[in-house]
Amino acid sequence: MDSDPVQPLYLKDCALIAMATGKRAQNLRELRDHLRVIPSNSIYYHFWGGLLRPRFDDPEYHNDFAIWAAHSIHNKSLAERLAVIDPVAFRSLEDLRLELLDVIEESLDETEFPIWARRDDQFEFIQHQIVVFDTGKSVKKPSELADVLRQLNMGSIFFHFIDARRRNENAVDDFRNWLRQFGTQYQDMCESILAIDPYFSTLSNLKEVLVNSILAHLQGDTKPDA
Amino acid sequence: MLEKYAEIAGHHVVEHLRQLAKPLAGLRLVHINSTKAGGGVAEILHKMIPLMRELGLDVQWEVISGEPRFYECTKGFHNAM
Repeated sequence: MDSDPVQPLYLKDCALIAMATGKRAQNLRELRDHLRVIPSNSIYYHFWGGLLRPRFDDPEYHNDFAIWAAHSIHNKSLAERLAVIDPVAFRSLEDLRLELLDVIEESLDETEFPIWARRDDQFEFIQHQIVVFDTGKSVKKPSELADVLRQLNMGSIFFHFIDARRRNENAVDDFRNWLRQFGTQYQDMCESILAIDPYFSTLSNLKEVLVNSILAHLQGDTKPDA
Repeated sequence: MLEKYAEIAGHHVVEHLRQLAKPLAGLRLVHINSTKAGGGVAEILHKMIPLMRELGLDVQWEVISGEPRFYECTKGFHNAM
């Protein structure tokens, strides 16, 4: 009996709903103290949430901690050290928390008196709730993937390429996770998707890079038997 | 009205609103404020009430009135918050 074991990839969209934690910091010591105990959900939001928000900040800084260090307590050296932290390099948000704390402790050791931010410019710790939406779109074959990806909103790219890493085993994005069911046939495509850095970019740029990478492999696939 | 917003905000944003509103269909909601014109709340409600109704919610808007001392009190709440 023939059966089709291939599972379609159902595409979703998402939004991060920001919620105040009520915790705020006016200087680096307060930031460190809150960071020690703040829910990891908040750390996730301050690293990744910026990708889904319209940004008018200096794109030099990719996370909210670095932006605050640069613009509110005017510690450029700390801002630069915070800005180069790539959350993808850490196995868990707890590991990321430890790295943040190390960088901040190092900065505290270098400064005798912590600089205070203005009262209306404190670091506000935000946590989030992800809300998932149906797009009504699905992909049944890898050859359809690039075309469908082109039609997706930024929330979909975030959900499947970034947020998926905390849902799937081994921190794999949904595209690679879905391609796995085809065995080794799309291994090269998976490797090229793996090589795309999801953090130091914008979602629209990520989408373009993803589409181009998938197309490059698909065009390669069709050559021998076209 | 939602379609007009979709042209500016994007159809996917309005589709999000429809999906969020679906489980709330039939819910009765009353907005109460102290003025039907002027002020930020009235400005918002003039648009929000028809939008919420278009999404399938049973929404009413009631205006509460009072003496000047009543408004001093509500303004006091507002400023304290």
